Amino acid sequence: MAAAGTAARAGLRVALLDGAIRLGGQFHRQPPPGHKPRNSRKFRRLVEGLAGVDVLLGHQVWAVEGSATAHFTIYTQAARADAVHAEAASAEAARADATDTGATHAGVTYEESAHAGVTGAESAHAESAHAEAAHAEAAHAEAAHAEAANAEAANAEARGPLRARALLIATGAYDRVLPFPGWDLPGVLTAGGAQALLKGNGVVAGRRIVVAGTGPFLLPVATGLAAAGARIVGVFEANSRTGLLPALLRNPAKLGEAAGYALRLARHRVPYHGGQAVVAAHGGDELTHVTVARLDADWKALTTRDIECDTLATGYGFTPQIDLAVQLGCATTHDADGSPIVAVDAGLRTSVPGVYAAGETIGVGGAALAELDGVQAAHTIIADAADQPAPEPTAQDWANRDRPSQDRPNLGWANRDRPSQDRPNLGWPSQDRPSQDRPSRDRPNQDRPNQDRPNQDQAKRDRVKRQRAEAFARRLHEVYPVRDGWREWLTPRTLICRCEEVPYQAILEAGDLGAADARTVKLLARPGMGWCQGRICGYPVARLCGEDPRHPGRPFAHPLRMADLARLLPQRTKDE
Amino acid sequence: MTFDTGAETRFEISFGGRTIPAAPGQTIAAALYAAGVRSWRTTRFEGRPRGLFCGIGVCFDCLVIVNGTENLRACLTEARPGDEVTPG
Ligand SMILES: Cc1cc2nc3c(=O)[nH]c(=O)nc-3n(C[C@H](O)[C@H](O)[C@H](O)COP(=O)(O)OP(=O)(O)OC[C@H]3O[C@@H](n4cnc5c(N)ncnc54)[C@H](O)[C@@H]3O)c2cc1C
Ligand code: FES
Repeated sequence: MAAAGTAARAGLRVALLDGAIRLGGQFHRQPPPGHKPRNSRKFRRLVEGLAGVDVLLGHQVWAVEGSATAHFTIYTQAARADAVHAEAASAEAARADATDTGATHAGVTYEESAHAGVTGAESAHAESAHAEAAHAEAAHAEAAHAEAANAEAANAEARGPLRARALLIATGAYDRVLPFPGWDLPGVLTAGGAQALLKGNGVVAGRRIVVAGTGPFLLPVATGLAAAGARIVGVFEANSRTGLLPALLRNPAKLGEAAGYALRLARHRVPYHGGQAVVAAHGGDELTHVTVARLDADWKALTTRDIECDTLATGYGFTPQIDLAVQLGCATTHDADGSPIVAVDAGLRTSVPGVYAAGETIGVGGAALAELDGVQAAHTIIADAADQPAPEPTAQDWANRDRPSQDRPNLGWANRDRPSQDRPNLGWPSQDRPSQDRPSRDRPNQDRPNQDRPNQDQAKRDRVKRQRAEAFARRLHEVYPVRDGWREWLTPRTLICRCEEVPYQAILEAGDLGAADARTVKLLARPGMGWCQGRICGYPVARLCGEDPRHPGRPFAHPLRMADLARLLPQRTKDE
Repeated sequence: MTFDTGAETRFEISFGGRTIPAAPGQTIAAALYAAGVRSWRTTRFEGRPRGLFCGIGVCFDCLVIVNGTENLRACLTEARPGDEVTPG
């Protein structure tokens, strides 16, 4: 959202696409219509910033192809295709509503000249209502026009895919979970899932809830559920509760936030335990109790006890969602915790000209950093779009990136009139270089001297803020690592892959057959071959094989319903 | 527990012959959860019960059939008045 607004204010034509039906992404996730918007002031500011942006809600982007020279073609799928025809009428009604509240923009033709397609939320969005309809919804908490979103998404499909000259990928992250016996029982859900259920639907996941995993995210989940009336039997942090304290003492804002959580935990009498984890879940058809263990330094279970509960919310950090970037051939690197992330330069350009990335896709760092990223990425897009060839980098610039200047990514906008075959991918040409050669947000930011910023002071403040936020994010990874001792929590029958129902035993057997790496294990035992395509079991399988998780390069960012694919194919053939 | 959304705007969907109340803007998974339905499908091989897990469209545990359309993720699919939901 921050990126879309910033780019639109600079005069670019921007479409914001989001698979969700309401604006906000994870952090600013909004309640159903008719309720007070959450985080009102900050969220309202982001929404107001979207004036002039084509906000396309309910548009799941499943593929992007093309290049900055020609254009990127963005394929979307309506969140609910069955609703499409039935709701054309309500879409018309919604459009009328939107006009009442000052909306225009009905029936935008994206074929013309969309300048920047922005995918994702929080720092950049994409969905399928008109900007103003969404705007009205968020600002005045009126009807959500989800139907309009769906119908509009369907219209967009009928109209053909969206085209753009530049693409910002800000698709966020999802919960990383560890397997343990019973983790697939109904009543066990991810911490983010419990949060989404509450924030986005006003539904409290259970009555007696245990929250377990690692990282500060457990705290808003626990306090949010407690405030909504659930009894939180305990928060079990596998790492130390106080590891972050030194960093907090250097960061007054974060210290205040932490103190706020401490107060709320105390008010709701929620016990917060360190060095403990849920190592098993029990029940017949539903969760009835969990086994909690004290952990040693490597997270092997020491003493255990059982706790009654109907719900477990669990999360061990986040995995960035980088499918679209990988599809486009963007180079990847590793986050501080080993997760694959999109490699970017200081301006948040990826290795593919015209493609930019922000937020959790370039390293998990929380909502504030994601927003700052969005602003930074927008400034880079604005500068690049202004056809300004970036000046040759200074020696220092490149000293920080260990690479010769001809490796310089994205000179694209300068020569965009050249036919595309003249324009090899200038960025990181050698895809097989070791990842540590690639810049990531872990490297110090050298700002480009040419950045066309409306307000240099503001830019400088943003830069300092971003550097601080990045440093804090790095600290979080250090303080809340995942230790491999969780492997000892497994029994031979514990499912590792929920979709294909692959038990730990089958992984071990694959190992006995000589499978030494995650790929071979996958071929032999099928973990990661089901519906979720390894999004959930990718991390545990990789770690069981002693590897850092790798991105599998999924053909679609969202699995497609075959009927939708069939409907889309003729359209594509026409384009080609 | 749900927010009070006002009786007049609430509507009903059905799941396996049961009537489930829903509020505008809620997902099918949320409506089912609020009504105490926490699993709505069984797995292919071992018949294990499944419901909501990731809550944001990543894990595909929550698949349902809505008005005959298969393979919809209940956690992403908004409930509409009269939706007939069957195990996915
Ligand atoms: C379930 C969940 C709940 C969370 N809740 C909180 C919280 O309450 N408080 C907190 O501090 N942090 C929370 N987080 C952490 C959160 O990820 C970050 O704080 C912050 O939201 C990151 O911002 P972002 O812009 O990078 O991504 P996000 O806010 O995740 O935004 C990404 C957006 O991209 C959209 N998207 C993704 N893929 C596609 C696609 N293929 N096509 C179209 N649209 C797509 C998504 O719908 C989403 O709106 C949560 C994380 C998760 C996974
Ligand atoms: S609960 Fe994971 S996809 Fe719906």
